[in-house]
Amino acid sequence: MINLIISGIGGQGINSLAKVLANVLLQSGYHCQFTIHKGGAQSLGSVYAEFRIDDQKLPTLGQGIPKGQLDILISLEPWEALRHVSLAHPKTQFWVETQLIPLFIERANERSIESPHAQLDALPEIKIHWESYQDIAQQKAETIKMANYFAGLNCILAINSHVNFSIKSKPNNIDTDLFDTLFFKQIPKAKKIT
Amino acid sequence: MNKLKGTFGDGNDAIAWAAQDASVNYISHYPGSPVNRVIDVLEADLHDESYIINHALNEHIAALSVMGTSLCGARSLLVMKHVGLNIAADPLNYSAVIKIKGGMVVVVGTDPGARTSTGEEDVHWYAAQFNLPLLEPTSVQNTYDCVKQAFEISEQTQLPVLVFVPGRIAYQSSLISRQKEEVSARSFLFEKDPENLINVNVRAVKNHRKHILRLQAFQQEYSQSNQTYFNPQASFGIVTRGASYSVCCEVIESLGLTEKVHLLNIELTYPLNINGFLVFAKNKKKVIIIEDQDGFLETMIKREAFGKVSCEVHGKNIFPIWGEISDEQVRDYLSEEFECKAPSNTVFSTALGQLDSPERPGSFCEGCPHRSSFYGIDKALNNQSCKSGGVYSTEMYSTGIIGGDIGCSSLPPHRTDWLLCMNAGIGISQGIAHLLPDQPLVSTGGEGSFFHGGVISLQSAVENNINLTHIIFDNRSVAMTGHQDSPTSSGKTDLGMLLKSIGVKHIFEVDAFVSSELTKAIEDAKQLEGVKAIWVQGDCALQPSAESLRRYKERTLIIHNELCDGCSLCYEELQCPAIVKDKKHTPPLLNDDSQLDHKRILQIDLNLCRRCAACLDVCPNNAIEVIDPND
Ligand code: SF4
Ligand code: SF4
Repeated sequence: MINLIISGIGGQGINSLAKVLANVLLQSGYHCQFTIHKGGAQSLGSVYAEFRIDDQKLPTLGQGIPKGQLDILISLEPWEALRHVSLAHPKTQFWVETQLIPLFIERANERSIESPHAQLDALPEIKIHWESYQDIAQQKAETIKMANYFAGLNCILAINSHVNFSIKSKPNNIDTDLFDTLFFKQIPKAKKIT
Repeated sequence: MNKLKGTFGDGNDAIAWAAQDASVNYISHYPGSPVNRVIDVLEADLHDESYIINHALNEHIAALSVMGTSLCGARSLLVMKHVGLNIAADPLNYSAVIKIKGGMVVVVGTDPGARTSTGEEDVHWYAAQFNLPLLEPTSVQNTYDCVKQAFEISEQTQLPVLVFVPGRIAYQSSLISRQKEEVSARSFLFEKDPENLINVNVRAVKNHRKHILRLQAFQQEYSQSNQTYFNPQASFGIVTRGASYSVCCEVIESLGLTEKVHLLNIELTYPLNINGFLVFAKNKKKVIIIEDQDGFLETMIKREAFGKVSCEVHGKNIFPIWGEISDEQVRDYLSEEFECKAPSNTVFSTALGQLDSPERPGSFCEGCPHRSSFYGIDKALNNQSCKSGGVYSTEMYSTGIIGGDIGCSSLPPHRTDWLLCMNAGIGISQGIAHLLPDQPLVSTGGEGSFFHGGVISLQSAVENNINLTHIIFDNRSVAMTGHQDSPTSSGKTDLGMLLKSIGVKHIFEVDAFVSSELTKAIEDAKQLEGVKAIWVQGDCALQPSAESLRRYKERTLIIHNELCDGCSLCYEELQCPAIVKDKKHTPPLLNDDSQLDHKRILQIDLNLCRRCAACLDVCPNNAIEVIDPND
């Protein structure tokens, strides 16, 4: 089984990305269930999607990923990556957007919080893959709103590289073209990549 | 590998699809998370379905209208969140005696852990109070099955059936397999039935008795409620209901306890048919009931099984009655009970667990009318605005009281003095104002909650000559629960006339995006006696009007850094997220000690800015400029 979290903040398109990913997994022969956590606010709050994925029928699973069982974390914001580290194990893959989105408490009291970058880099045994989803999105689609697309591609990459030791038999690699097709089909207003 | 078939859906989809597949005829609801999306799903399919949707203005009306349609033979669905059940409780107390004709299902989104609510009230006790059957699904698919089943049970017993769906199932998604029931077309007719409908005196007692007998007959008959898992020979038993079932299953499997444990899940938790439990408990030494919150199932089991079992029965003496039952709690308990060692992964993650990320609770959106409204209120009351955004500190309040309501206006940075239930804005404020007429105070609330019950509260203040200023944030949308229409956005209600006709003498209309207008209105209202209403108008940023869209497309905003003196009002006090520090300067600037320069680097991020111009009114130095070709 693979346990995966995609995290970020309200407005970054975590919810729609999760729904695309679920269908990509389904059409690639995987079983999955996922839960979206978004709190009460319409925007700017923490949002994350928890996926439980397997190549065979999932057993009965609780809704949350238990401590020490998170295999892949894709985060669109560094604070939101730090939020889930307590679920990690030494081999957890961390893919994290470099660009920070300020927390409101910083506005008056900036110096009181440490940077999430330093805290993430200091994690024992875990290596962080720092990514620039926002910059790439700005370059290739002229809007940072498409950062979720590039994070999604990273999910596929991470799952494909993970199957060897996490899933019992080795299912097909997930095709990134399938992700691309379903992403634009399910999110019609997404901006095309040039 | 074969491709798998099916449709992904979450708990909300499951509820809606089950209603469609059970050929529901009528739906009424009041929006509320975690079941706020049910109506969206039903509404999206309205063109090829034949049901009617009633968007009630509160749960009380929703419950009564559904009782009406059900009496006419229509399959009827009522949807609300847990706290809504308090509002619907009065009519639902009568729903059993009236002998409904069409199946009536009451779906309630519960919220253990208060993920999306102001409280985690445990509404289970209503089932026992109403004496209505209660089904508790364990998964998304099971939610679909239970809702369909509930229509059947309801028609069989002529009782409404409750289905409780907790947040963690409502927001979970998995493949749902659907099956449309063949239900023949119905004709609807209200038949006069004074025996059951004029429920008074001797008849009320007689009807109550008939109701209880119907319920008891069903309790004896309904046997498909209990499912058992793992080893029937085990002397250790676990009993679950709802979401705790899957949590327990996962822990039992992962700790390798499948041989040592026998698990019983109970789906119909009221009225409880105890026979299943008695059979289960026969060979047990110890049984533990694991459920979210108050221990409703434990109470029911102990009530029904008293004197009939010899094993130990535990529950809330071990697990807390607040919050959700977590994987960790069950894991800790079972590993101690069976002396299993924690896997090394958990040891590693426990060490990492020391790290934490500050809470990011969400806030008003960019361009949200509430942001500048609260800025204006703070100025009028001379309150220190909340500099610590999202963090609760007593420092942030001075003497002026801001009565708070539920809705987007209650989002962080929580500028009001309380955040409790619907209508608490006008309600609590009116008590304080009645007792302390000289206390600086304003009450607040959105137009959604104003129509939910606020109208009557304000009228009550008028009738009692209370000196009260009430601010209605009219953003023309019930925004928090998914942007349903409100009576002001539908255009059917004239709020100004309504206020006048209930006797509000002084009505101020202000533009939400000009906070100084609101400040002035509050100061002017202070000079006047009686009930004053300030009608603050500004569209929800996510439901823009044509004019807001035009502004969004055509306007540009800039901060002239040379005019800015670094007062930081726009950044720290208005706190618009679109006003940011120049990216080049962060994070290295964290070590920069020159305060002034440190602040004079503000920019407007046009990717985020909604061009509402609220910041313009806030800046004392005219450093912010709006460039609008139409001005
Ligand atoms: S309110 Fe005006 S002067 Fe004050 S920090 Fe903002 S832009 Fe600068
Ligand atoms: S920067 Fe100013 S105009 Fe833009 S959204 Fe914020 S307050 Fe409104």
